[in-house]
Amino acid sequence: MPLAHRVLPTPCPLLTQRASRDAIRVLCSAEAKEAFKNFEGDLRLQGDHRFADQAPKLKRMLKDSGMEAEAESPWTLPVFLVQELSSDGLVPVFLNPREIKEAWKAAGQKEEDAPQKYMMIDIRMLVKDMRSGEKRGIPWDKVRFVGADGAADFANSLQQLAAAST
Amino acid sequence: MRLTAVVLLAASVSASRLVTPAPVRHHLRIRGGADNGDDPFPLDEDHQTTLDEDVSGDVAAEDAMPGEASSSGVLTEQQIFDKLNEVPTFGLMSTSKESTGFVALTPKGGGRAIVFFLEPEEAKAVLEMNKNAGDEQETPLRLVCLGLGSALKLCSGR
Repeated sequence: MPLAHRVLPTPCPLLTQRASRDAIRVLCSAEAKEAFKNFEGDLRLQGDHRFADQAPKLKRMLKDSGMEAEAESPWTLPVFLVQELSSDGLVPVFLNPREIKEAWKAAGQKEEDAPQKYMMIDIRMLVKDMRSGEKRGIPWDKVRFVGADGAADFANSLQQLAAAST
Repeated sequence: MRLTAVVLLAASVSASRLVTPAPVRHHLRIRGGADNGDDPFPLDEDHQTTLDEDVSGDVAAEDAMPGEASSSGVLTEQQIFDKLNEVPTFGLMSTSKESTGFVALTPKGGGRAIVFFLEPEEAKAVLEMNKNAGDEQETPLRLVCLGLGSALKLCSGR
């Protein structure tokens, strides 16, 4: 199997969209458990709703991977990897295939040649593999999650609004 | 310091306040998008076909991914957490004086769910729908940003 085409430029505009550290709130486990201990509903991650119909497939994959509890949870979140944009030095993990097309174009490639096949798995399967390091021969330390286009800017704008209101 | 204050405030909110605003069921379809007529996020049919026909799981991964000769090691929990937290998610938060905390929505299938959105446009749409939901209490709402790592931990019960 040949290695990827390594077409993703460095820096790729999509990969340089980062929210500031102040914009993204991070909770430690203890804080999170305390904050939600009295809440009796579900906590869910919601990706692009257009991929909601992929949930049964993702749940089946989770179950087949022995992740029964995750398969029974009320949510799934697909992540997408694509060979043509991955290399030993960078493995972008897309939260939406829309950004794959954008990355492809940013790499100076023709839109009509954009990859048509993606690898899709639930994010919890990916995290499990990143933790175990056993599967797929992927250089996990080179993984870079690519959020929705504009998400980082929006996070920054929320932070600026919050700062302005205090 | 500021983070601690926010978390403690959220913790002090009772479940009943967390579901504010209540009358949103007819507006929301969690994992189904807006239920207000025209789909604001129409899916490209060709793309959907691609997903239906070509997206696959482990088998595809074994064949398709690069770096087969690589033996890169295991990442620590913290390393994974840090990578995930570079991606923002967006949650709906009540900012009234009486109660500050994440606001639960009513999913299509019923119940209550606090949702962390990956798509900013969907988060904005949900915020606007709830602002226009005619909530008598007029609970002030805003979107807040939480790292994907934190959100994933929350949603995974860890």
